[in-house]
Amino acid sequence: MGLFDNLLGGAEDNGRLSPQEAFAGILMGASACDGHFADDETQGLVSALLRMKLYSRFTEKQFNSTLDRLHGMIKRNGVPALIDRCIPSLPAELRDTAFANACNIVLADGVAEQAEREFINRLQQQLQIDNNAATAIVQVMVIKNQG
Amino acid sequence: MGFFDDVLGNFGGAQPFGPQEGFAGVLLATAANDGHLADEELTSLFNTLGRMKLYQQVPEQKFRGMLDRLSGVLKRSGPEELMRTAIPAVPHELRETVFASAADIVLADGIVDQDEKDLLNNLMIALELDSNRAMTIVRVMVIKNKG
Repeated sequence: MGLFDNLLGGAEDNGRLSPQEAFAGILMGASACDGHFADDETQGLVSALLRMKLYSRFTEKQFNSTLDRLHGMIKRNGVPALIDRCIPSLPAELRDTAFANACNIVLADGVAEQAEREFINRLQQQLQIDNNAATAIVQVMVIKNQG
Repeated sequence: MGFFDDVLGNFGGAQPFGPQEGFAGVLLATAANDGHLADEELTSLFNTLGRMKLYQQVPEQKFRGMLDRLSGVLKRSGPEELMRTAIPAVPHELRETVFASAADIVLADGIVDQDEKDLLNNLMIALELDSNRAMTIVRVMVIKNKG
């Protein structure tokens, strides 16, 4: 407990995330799980989100501030903490969608580093995606990201 | 037979496509299949091509020249002809990859009309893909493009 915790408590970013933040947060975690944001990963992430009805009512400003907020959370507390916060707010019907898009982002550069493999494994467990479905998703994303 | 056919020969006629044109041609024909190219479809197409090693050695000017050439075929002869010319030029080891990317483009707007179903079916046959693997690819792309 720090001296100013009570005083500053309200200034921390502790509120429950919206479904939009939760989905985007998982993709952003996928993008950052190897320790950095690559430009082409960010582009892929933005185009994956923008096509969704989930964000169709978002203004550009709302969209950018969502990404900024999530980016701040990664910088402060790291990717695993962000994912932990995203999971409870993610709509159940978008669990496999989030997993598929996360795999697509992780595999986009054609390699799967150890940190990325661990991220995918942990995400599968947290999202409770059964092994067969997860295997099919990873296999197809490997195919899609060859060449 | 026109009077100048002998002299003009194949001047300005279709040259066979190389592997880069084959892969990009299939995706451009897919995006244009419904009669128009949406901005988001083009962005997603550029993202897909941009991440590939296949295009990393291609200088920007040549890359743009290639897209111009493909757009020219598309405008003059339509998406079906572009598809027909492009498919045989897709490298063998990238047939499933181009199919996965095409499915991703078709499904990106969250709806699939009969034309698009036909396109995927015809593409699967023309690329000589195993139907079970093609089915798995489409199933995962449906998951990826929900929400």
